[in-house]
Amino acid sequence: MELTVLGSSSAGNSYVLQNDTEALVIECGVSIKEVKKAVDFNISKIVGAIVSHEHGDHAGYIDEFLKARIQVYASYGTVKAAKVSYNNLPILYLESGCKTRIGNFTVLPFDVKHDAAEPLGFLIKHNETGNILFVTDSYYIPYAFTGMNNILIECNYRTDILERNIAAGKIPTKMRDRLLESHMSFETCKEALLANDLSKVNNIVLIHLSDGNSNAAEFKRDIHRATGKNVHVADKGLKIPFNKTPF
Amino acid sequence: MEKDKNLPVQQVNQVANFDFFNPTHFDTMQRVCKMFASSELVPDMYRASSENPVDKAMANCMIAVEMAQRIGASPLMIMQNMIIIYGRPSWSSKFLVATVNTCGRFNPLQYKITNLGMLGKIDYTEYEWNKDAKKKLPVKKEFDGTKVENLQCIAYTTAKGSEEVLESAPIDIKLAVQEGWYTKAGSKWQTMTRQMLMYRAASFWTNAYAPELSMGMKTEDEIRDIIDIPYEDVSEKVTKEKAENANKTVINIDGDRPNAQQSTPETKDPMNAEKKSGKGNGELFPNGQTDTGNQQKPKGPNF
Repeated sequence: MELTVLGSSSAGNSYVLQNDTEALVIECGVSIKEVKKAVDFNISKIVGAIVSHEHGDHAGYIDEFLKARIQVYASYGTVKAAKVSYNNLPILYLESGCKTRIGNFTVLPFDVKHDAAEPLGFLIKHNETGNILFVTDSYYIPYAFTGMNNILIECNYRTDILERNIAAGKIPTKMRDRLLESHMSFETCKEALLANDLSKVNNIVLIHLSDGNSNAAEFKRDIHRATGKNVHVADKGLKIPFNKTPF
Repeated sequence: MEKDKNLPVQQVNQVANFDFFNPTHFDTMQRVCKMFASSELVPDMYRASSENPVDKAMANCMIAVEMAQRIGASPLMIMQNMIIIYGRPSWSSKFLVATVNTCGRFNPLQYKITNLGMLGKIDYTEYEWNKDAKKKLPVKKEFDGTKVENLQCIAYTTAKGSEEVLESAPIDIKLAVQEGWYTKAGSKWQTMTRQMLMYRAASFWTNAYAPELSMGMKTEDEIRDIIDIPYEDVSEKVTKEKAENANKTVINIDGDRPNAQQSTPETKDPMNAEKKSGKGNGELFPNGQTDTGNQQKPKGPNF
């Protein structure tokens, strides 16, 4: 299995998990054209797209996915809030705590903490990848997880960088409150990782880094030091093997 | 002792030399202000008239003259460019730019405008009056910007004698939409897009590199655009919430609990069905309870 990052910022988020025969898209925040390129135009192998919440950088292109006959999955609140206009293919409804089978992927959604209608994180299971944790846009995770093999976790800002930018007048103070109550800080990300059993984890991918309030190189270095795992920063275009084991 | 003419000379900003608490200064200033208040060249709020009593006009003049002394500008210039919006003094944007350009510390401000492509659909927050809460509360909305170009503007310049480029934070149309500036009734952002981008970038530049020039005052267009919401520091609340709830309940995708139900279009198409309260689909909770569909959604995890 391979992970391709098509976008991981407020400009648009989308990730593709794929092997030769099937692909699962996580987030519809980039144009379907990008997704088609990522799967080498073999769109029929896309078994579905799961969406965490309704904000434009995660759900802005749901209509395009539906028009391309890709089955989209999201929470009830997300679908209502996303104002999807294309209705020839209904979006299937995910609910926190209810496992759903999508191709050979099993998806267990869980509720997360973001300023959206009904935001979700996902535990995804596949024979090749093992258990994947996907959490974005959540200022903390209420849960701990067992048996994880790969992790995609938001690492949006570091508090000292944020405070420095506010002091310099580069960021309005109002935005600070919104960030604190909607996105995951480096510190919280690290705490969340260390609160879990990482013994079987192969890759940690830091996603949704803020443009101005983060430092990718330091985040990668410090999370690697804290966990001892392979750490990647989800830059647009990143492609990495995403299997249970590194071999 | 003879002065060494080669020694560098430190530029000293002009400091205010008017002291409100010095009777002599105050007396002189009153006479100066009376003169300004009698002039026909000053704007209405500084001019004594039947609608603007002389005491009020002189008070306004005194504040303007004191500010002029503080930043080394002409009192008339201050009076013509200080505008009261919603009861608060503000600068006109062009005055702020002129102040930066003529203060002697920086080269004139310049602007870099980049087209980032079409805007697309943007979520933004508007603050609307809530009768129950008796205050403005955030309301999420969506802006269709599929036909709007996302222009970005950065104001920049160098300090005199230095080659380091000082850039403002980038201001783009996406930000203007997200902050609610673009969509406000009567907004100039839709009709004078480039001008507003340059003005706002200049304001941000001044806030970052020379806040003393604006004396902490916003520009006229900033005051019109930016709504001040009472600031509430949420740090403590968030820290407490995280300490109490983060990483607590363990879940396992391989668990043998019967908590899984395949979503089906018939039962779970939210476009065609109203959501029941609680889980409502007869799903099992981890302790084996079956939800009746009438209960409130449980606070605990649904695993």
